[in-house]
Amino acid sequence: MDKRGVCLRVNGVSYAVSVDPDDTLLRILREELKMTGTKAGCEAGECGACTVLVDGNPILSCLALAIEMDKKDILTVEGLARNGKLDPLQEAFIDEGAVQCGFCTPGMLMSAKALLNRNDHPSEEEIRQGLAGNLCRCTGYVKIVKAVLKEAETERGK
Amino acid sequence: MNGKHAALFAGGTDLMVQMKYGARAPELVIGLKKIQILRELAYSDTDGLTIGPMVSLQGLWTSAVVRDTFPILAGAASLVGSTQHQFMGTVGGNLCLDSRCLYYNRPVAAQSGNPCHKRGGQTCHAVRGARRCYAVYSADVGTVLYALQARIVVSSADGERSLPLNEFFTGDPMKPNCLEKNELITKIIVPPERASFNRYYKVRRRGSTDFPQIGVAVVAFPQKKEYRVVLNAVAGEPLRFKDLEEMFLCDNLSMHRVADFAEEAVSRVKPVGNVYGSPAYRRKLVGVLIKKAFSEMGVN
Repeated sequence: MDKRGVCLRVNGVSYAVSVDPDDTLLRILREELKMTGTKAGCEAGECGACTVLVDGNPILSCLALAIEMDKKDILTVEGLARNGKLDPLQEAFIDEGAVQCGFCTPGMLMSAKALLNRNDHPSEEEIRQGLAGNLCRCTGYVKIVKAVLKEAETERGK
Repeated sequence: MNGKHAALFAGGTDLMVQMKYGARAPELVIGLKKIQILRELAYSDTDGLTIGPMVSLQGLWTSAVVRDTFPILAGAASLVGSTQHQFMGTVGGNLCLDSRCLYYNRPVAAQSGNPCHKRGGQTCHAVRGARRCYAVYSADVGTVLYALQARIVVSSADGERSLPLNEFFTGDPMKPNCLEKNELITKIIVPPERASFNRYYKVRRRGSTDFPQIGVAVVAFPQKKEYRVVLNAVAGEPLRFKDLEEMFLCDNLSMHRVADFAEEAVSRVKPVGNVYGSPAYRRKLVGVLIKKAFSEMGVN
């Protein structure tokens, strides 16, 4: 297949990448751009580990074609920290002990980030709904939900 | 498409998985994301709700006009897959969802070198010895659009045609809809008639991501004594028993008559073991959900 050139804007940096038409965004992020924070889990759209934000919306990068991402703004877990300082949401995950094996964490963070961008007053139910597409095999959901609630409360208090 | 086997790529949440599992291998994949005209969403009291097929499921259920005019449609879209699927998936894609089966929607290796009917073989792994495919249509939004008696406009290089959804579905799991290879849905039109009660019920294994084990859409127009009940995930197309509706629901509606209707409906559905949950459990759910809907409607 003929490769095509696309411009991916990942975490604020533009990358010119040559992609096959059937390359997923997940593969390009992990194997071409070496950003392995985004995890390859089921690769069939069921576990949410590969969640990234495209133009602010959470999507499953395992089901997205890289060729369709030309000039899109992509935010991955690597882009959450700014100037060496973790995002407050990441801090909340640490404070609440919301990380066990850590494999689902990047996807959880991205889904939670997208939820808080859409709704800065999420109820516990809304958080559970917003994260329902992200599976945690350690079943650490309670602490993850607590962390997102904490971050939402902190942001509201500012 | 120069004789090549092509597939239209809307949100990708169905097609990509099928391609990864080796269930489909189109030579060409045609992306639709850049066609802005397919993203229109508008309501008028005369024409009803016009939905572009590329409107995302998230865009549908968060639309104020959709939530106001057809809450059942917003409700169904909010129950499809997970949040991520709703941002990626589209209304047209859901309508054209391929029929599903636990044995078909798996990696090719899971068929142990013995492909099923839908994969071009001669076997059914769900029903031993079956000479046909039993995969089920499972689209939540598609089922609700059918219950709302929506029409679609379909375009091709040869022109445009409009058809009601009851002519769109074939009931054949091998080819669940009548779209020709060169055709594209360009509009979905829901008539403006507003139901006094309209709700979609979905039971699935987990609270997210999963396809329905059973779905039931109920749309009621008491003024004209019309109560539509459409079942999802039990057949190759959305299932409606119009004769039973006329027999039990048109006159003297009561929970007693609803129970009789539900019992008849349960006796007619024949789910097989191709969706999570036993066929007996899923049949029982059909009755439970129908009675739940009419109870919530306020029928005594």
